[in-house]
Amino acid sequence: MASTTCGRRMFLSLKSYLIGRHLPPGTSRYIRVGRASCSTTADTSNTSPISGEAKNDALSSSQVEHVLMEMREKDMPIDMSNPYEREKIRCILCKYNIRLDYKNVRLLSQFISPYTGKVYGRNITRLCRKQQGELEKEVQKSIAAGYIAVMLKDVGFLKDPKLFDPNNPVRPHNY
Amino acid sequence: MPSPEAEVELATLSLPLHNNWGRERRLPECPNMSLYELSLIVRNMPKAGLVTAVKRVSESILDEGGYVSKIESLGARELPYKMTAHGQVHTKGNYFLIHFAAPPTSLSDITDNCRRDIDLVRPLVSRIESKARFECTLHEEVQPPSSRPEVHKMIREAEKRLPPHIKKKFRLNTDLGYNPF
Repeated sequence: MASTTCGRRMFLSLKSYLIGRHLPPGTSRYIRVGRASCSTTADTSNTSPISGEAKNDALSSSQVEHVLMEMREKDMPIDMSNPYEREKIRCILCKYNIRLDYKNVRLLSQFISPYTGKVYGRNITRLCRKQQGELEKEVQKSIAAGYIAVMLKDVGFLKDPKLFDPNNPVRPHNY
Repeated sequence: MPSPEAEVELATLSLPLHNNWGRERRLPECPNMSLYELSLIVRNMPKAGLVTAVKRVSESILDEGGYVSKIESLGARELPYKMTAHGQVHTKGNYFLIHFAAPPTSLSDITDNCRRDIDLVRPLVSRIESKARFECTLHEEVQPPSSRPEVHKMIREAEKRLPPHIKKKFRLNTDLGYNPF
């Protein structure tokens, strides 16, 4: 039971607040409570628990039904995808929509070790499986076509920006 | 007398610019033609010799029933490794690209002609294909093995390959951990 102090209105409960949300705009939302009767008050005029004003604010049964129907319809969970879903990580080639080509020697060389001249594995390049397969295929094709060296990385490409750190692989390597 | 800068006369189809993404594998007008790219390394020769060599190759493609759409020169450079061709060792070469459309049946003849040509060091015909759009699966691959889809697939495959004396063993579906009989 809420108390009234200086005519302040308070909600009786959460339920009355929720009901209040669904009420038609005309009705008053607050259920006013008369002054509580206690032993200290000598007033006998306000002994009735609900004053005359509060009686008018009481909801009729049809209103309650209407409100409950609306609650059932409007407050149902909405069909939506998980809003807390994390953004899926993508490999660098998929992210920037880069296509590997056997003629693009510089791009292919970025995935080749400057020490052994071999293509780095998936644990180092951090490419998705398909892209790694494409990379290996294109490097083989490039070597066959005579664009890229077999066992070394072109000296001019040694200072190229690093797409990954070979010393920080997902799994240890022998390079 | 033809000048060194003589334009190579070609029968061309009006094809759109070469674009690797979303490109039809076959020409819409000629369903029997496929698009190819001939990567050519021609030996170190003066410019007139280069022109005649490339012209010869293009004409051989046209003879086989193909249409040459584009000829690109990627310049002269030192080869990444020594290449032997027709009894000679080459260290320098000139790179060319010839885009053409040809029926797939004539492809073997085209490559054969290229191999017989003594001026060519390394011909390689490759098909121009549009890349199939696929989703990047890296987010699945970085998960621990117990939640990786490819590991699940492997487990299911292994279960399929179990020997019959394990796979087809009769199992009593009782809660007892042992056979009471």
